[in-house]
Amino acid sequence: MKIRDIPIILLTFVLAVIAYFATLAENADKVKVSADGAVIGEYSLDKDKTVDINGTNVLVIKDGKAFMQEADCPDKLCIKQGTIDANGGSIICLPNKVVVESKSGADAVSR
Amino acid sequence: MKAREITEVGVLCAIAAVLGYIEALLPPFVPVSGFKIGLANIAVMFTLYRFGKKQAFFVMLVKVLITSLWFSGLNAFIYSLFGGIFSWLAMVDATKLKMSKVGVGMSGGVFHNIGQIVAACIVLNTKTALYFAPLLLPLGLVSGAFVGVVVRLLIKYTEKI
Repeated sequence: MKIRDIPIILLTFVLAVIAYFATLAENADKVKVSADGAVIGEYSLDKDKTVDINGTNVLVIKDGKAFMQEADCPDKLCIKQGTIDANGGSIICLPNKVVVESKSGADAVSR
Repeated sequence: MKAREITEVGVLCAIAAVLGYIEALLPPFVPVSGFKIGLANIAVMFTLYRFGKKQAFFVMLVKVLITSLWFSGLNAFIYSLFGGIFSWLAMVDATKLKMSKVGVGMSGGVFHNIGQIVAACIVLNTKTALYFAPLLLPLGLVSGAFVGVVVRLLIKYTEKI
């Protein structure tokens, strides 16, 4: 380690902080589900629901939380990514190109 | 290129592919598809120091082709390629900035993950992949530092060969 190495460490944390704020969702109350770039639907977090995504993944919305229950990919990483709740978050399944992202109603209007 | 150089670069390509394979066998320790410690980067970075940037690019490309097409399928190819090119560029620039080997390794590790996030944003057509950046970038720093330390030792022990 040398003094000259410090820029890369600073750059990393600056980028990480920028990315953190860029993806921060305020009062998320909906999730948007898309697969292969096409939007499948938007679902409210308030209503319990099970969403079948193209037969490859199953998303469950329960008690204000959304999580991936099933996936046909080998690694099942999207299931391990946990839940989306009012604080935002996202679930990404790279093999099936499925993206579940949190959204707030007010946010969608302002954009 | 001299015969000796061709041989050594060939061996380094093979080492990179095997390291990539070993890494594919390890269970993912971060729940994000595609995150790797970057063991194969050891071979790429070592080539950069021993021969130069062109040879290092070649080793990176062979590693990307073999590991992604052989072990994980075409889908992983674009993530792997973006990660490989980004980390190669970062390591070349870091050596020009006269960073230490740990610094060069860290640059490679961080930009490998940046490249993969960029690839995910393009493939998935969403900026949602950025959500993983706060986790993946500092992890790239740690794994890159590990790669840098290993390369420093490798260079020390192979200088006379």
